[in-house]
Amino acid sequence: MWEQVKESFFQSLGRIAAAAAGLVPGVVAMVLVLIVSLLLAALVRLMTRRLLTGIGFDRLVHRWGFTAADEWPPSRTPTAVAARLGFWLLLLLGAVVGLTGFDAALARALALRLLEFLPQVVAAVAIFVAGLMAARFLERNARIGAVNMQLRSARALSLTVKWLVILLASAMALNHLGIGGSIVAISFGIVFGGVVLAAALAVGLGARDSVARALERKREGEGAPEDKDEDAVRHL
Amino acid sequence: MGPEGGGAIVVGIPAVPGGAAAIAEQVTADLKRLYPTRGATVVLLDGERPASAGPAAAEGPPRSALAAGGIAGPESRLPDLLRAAQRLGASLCALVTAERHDEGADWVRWLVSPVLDEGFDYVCPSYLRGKYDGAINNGIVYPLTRALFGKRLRQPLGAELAVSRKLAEVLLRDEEWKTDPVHAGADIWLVTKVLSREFRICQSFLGRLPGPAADRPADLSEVLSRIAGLLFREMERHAPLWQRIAGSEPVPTFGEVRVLEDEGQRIDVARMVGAFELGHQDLRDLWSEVLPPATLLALGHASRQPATAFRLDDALWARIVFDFAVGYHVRSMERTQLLKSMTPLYLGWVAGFVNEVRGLDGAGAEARLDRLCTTFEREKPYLISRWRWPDRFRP
Repeated sequence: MWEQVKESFFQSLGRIAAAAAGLVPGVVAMVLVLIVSLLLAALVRLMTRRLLTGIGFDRLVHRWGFTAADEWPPSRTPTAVAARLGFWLLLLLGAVVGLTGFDAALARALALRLLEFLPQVVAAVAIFVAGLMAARFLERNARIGAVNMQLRSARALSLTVKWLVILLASAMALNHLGIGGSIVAISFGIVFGGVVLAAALAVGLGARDSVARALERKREGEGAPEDKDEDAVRHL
Repeated sequence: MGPEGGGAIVVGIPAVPGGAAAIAEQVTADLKRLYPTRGATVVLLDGERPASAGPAAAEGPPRSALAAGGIAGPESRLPDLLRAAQRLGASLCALVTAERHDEGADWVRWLVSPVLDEGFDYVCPSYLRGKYDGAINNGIVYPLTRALFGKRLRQPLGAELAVSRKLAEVLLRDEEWKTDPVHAGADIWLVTKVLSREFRICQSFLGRLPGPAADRPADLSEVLSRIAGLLFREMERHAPLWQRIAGSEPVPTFGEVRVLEDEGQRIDVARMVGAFELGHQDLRDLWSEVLPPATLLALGHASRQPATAFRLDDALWARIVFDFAVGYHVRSMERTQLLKSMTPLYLGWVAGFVNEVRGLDGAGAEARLDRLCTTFEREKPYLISRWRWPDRFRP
């Protein structure tokens, strides 16, 4: 009996050793791939930083309507973020490629799944970034328009516009990724509808008199523009 | 219409239902009285645009530049008129609005005689206006064009004009009718085009502004952004030229020159000052993308003044206009947003100007405006520096 136990033990040890030996090339390959991808990622980060600094990417992003350049800490400038993003993307890609080196079906399936998912992630990020840009643009438009209409709540109005657009972009991006399913759409509908309803109630209940006065002024203004003192100044 | 090829004078009038016939008759009679030996042709411009000149004309009657804030290309009847003048072999062509003109001003004479009798190439119309009228022209267009091109054209935004055959031929050959049909033909386009070349230019006072008093713009920021946008665009186009010009000189002037005395209007500037303060409160961070810190600081001081004593220093205003022009040029932000964000600043300037000229007569107000223009000229080196090295002053 002892002989049988001993034989079973050595057989299982042999199998483990054989399996481990079978994994070694994969591990070595993965480590090699990771080292190479690490070097490549570092190179890409360096090149991205130099290229973006050269073309004044921070200023361009500022011009596109994102936060002022002087508000960014040095480690979070758009150039630094883009360089870091490139670094981690390449490293992630290296890890995925390294996994396939094991020649294991599960690893390959995982890698393929990740690679298939990548375009969707890129598209979702693009949707979100476009949404951020649109939000910034519309926020400025709303703020300038409201100030020129001499509305006291211009900033609040413009911030509402901005966050509604960001909310919409986030919901679209998540929907594109298939995260959250219908919950995202329903949540978005509830929040958006809630904001609009709140705004309508605020105007209807809180600012009813102001709106009535504004409409009255507008009607009087259309009828007799000369009544207002400031109209004595002709801009044209 | 006169016979084909027979007119030495061609006058174009935009065809407005029920309005053009009367003015056409008056122009014909005046021309016959003034120049009995010259053939005169009145052309009714119906607004049909040839394909090469850009998109089809907007529906409806043409709008007065002064009412609409500058004639944009598609609305301009200028190419039609120039072609008609060329076809008829005219030595002068003039564009007049179909509005009722000042009867006592002999305006037809002052419009056409500088070209026919004095040999000028371009007659820029001016009108008798009150000291509070034409604020966009007084605060931005006149001082800026004067500082840029060195010619004291009092009202460059005119809906009417008279041009010599030589100028008409040059204008007709201009490539911008094809390359930039949207802007070609706009009043500021034409004026800067003439100022940037060797043409003899003059201005004529044609009495009171034709038609009813200019409408109050429905959206001031829209009008301001349109006029300032056209002007800044022309600045870009002629940048090499205006950077070589210093100071200004008067242009020959015809007709009765005066400012209409006000009829005791009581102007409360509180709302305009309020608009400025609101802009300073909510748009300061946007302005900081265009204006340097020193200007923002000065605006902060200004926003704390009481409405009745509100003032914007001339040099400060000049630099603000210059900074916005540079911001437009380098696209510091989206251009329409940039131009519209200027509205509260402009209203602040208007409020200050009203406060200053309130107790002055027409001549005094004109002298005050001349001081503003001189300041624009004095500050021009600042504009040139910013234009050439916009990043040097970048906040």
